[in-house]
Amino acid sequence: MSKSILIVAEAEGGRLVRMVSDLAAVACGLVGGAAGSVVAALSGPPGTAGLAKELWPHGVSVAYVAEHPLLGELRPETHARAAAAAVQQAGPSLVLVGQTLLGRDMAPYLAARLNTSVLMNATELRRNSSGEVEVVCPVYGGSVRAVYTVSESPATVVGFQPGVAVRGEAVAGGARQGQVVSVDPGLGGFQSKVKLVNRATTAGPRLEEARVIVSGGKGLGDKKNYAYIEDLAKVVGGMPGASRAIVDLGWATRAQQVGLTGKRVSPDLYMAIGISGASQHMAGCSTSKVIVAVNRERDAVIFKYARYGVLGDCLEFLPSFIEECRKLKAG
Amino acid sequence: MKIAVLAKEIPDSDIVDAFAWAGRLQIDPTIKAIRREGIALGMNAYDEQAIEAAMRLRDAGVKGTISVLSVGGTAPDKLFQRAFALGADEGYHLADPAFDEADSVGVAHILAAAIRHVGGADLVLCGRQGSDYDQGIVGPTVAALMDIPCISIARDVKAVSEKVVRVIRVIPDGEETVDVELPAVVTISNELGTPRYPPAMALFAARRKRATTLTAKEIGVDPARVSVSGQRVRRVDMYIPELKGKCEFLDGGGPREVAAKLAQRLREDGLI
Repeated sequence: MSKSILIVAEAEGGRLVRMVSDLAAVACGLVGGAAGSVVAALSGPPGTAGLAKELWPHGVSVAYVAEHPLLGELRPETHARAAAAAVQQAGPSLVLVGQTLLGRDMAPYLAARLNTSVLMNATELRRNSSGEVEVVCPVYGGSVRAVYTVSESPATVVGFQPGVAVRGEAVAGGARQGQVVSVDPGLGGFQSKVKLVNRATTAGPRLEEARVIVSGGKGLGDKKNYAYIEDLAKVVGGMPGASRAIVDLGWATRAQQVGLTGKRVSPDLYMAIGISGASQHMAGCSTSKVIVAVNRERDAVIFKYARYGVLGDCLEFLPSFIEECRKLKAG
Repeated sequence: MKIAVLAKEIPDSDIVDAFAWAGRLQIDPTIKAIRREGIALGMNAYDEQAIEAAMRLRDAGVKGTISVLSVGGTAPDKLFQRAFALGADEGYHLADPAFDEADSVGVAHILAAAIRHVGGADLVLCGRQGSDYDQGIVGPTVAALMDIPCISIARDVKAVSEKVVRVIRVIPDGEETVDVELPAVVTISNELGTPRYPPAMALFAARRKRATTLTAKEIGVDPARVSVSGQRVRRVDMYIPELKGKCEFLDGGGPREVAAKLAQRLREDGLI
């Protein structure tokens, strides 16, 4: 039981990604604060080692750092090699990966390289009464939970969804200084087969960071009615979101999609307008602090998640509600 | 260009959702899986879209066979009928008692061995994840085992040449276009769009086609390697999470009164 837990600390554009502190918190939670038991694999272009010091306040004591020009590109083939080298050196009992764009593919790659098993979408990690590590994963779009016990020898790779693991803060008693160990990513002679042609991302505020989100679903009835969602979002100082159903219909953009295959959000206020609350949608927003639901169907599942419910046609309700909110804001 | 599409049989996710909504979904405690009574089995919808991606390459003039490979399942004939109707030329059903204990990693070992056995593939396509366990492990693992790149969550795949495909991936706040040298694995997302409805002729012709069944021995995969991963990660429980359901319904009066009440409440709670 004295073995360490290794977290894969992803860096992008010279910064650690936000999930790193969450993974560190999950790892610290499992080891119960035992010193020296959480280590990290950090890989990137030359100069990445400088980021290691940002890991110490989160309870990480050793950073296994791989630097190589090819690691400037976020490709799973290369970063999995670097992480595998770190795992082989550290010999941990578990490997935790954040399911970012890179991590989602990198975790299975890493498991294949290490000849070990992998589980994705974990929402919880705990030790059961027999001392085994248990992992909880939502399955069937979130309608069902599956619980697994995982091997610690060899170490299982566990992927965590962004936004569902505990929010990591700097831990009290985190080491002020850790140790940097340099590892060879084994990329000598590696030829990349993938060439980035173009990356187009929408600028501006991101849905994941909004404090208030107003989402619309098929209950809006027509594409033009999505304008109500945008209006309301603007009036309450939030951002407009959408269900997959209306993104597929072209009423809203993919960047606005909340759910299993869209964004995972956790705002203070989530307003679900004309959304029935299918598990695939709730997988993206059920951790919101307060959910408000507006729906015509008394039996809609969304009301089981909601703190406040409005039963009725959202098109009759929205104009009044926008006006009331505007009055409140002005007053 | 040889295209291999990896397909999985799963319980119809729309029916599972409907059961879950209606509170009718049940767990079988002995096998720790959902009870399948009344739930139809069929091809994972993302995998159908992977076949559609292959067909769009063919429409654009790409020559070569489209093979569909699937492991296990309880109604393989139905899955392969669907695959042939959607346009697949060949079907390979990987069936062996030794595959019963395979988890996603084990399935990837079977599929990688089967692809080798049928003469390799230039492009391997599969759905981004199975809509049953939602893990998304098979595509990247097959790529890792074949030591080739994996481009995930694609909405468009076009051939640049016999050796290169251009893939548009869906990323959190936009899109990414990459050129990848073949062989490669590409996983397909729902943004690709709905698969074409098979013409009557294709449906009719599909009924006469049969998939080839291959065993562990025939594809040369070690049964121990197939089952070891699933033994290390064991499913010990499955349950349906209970919802608290403490919703306060705001009513009394027309929409205007309710709207005013809700706005006031949210203001008091410091939310707007």
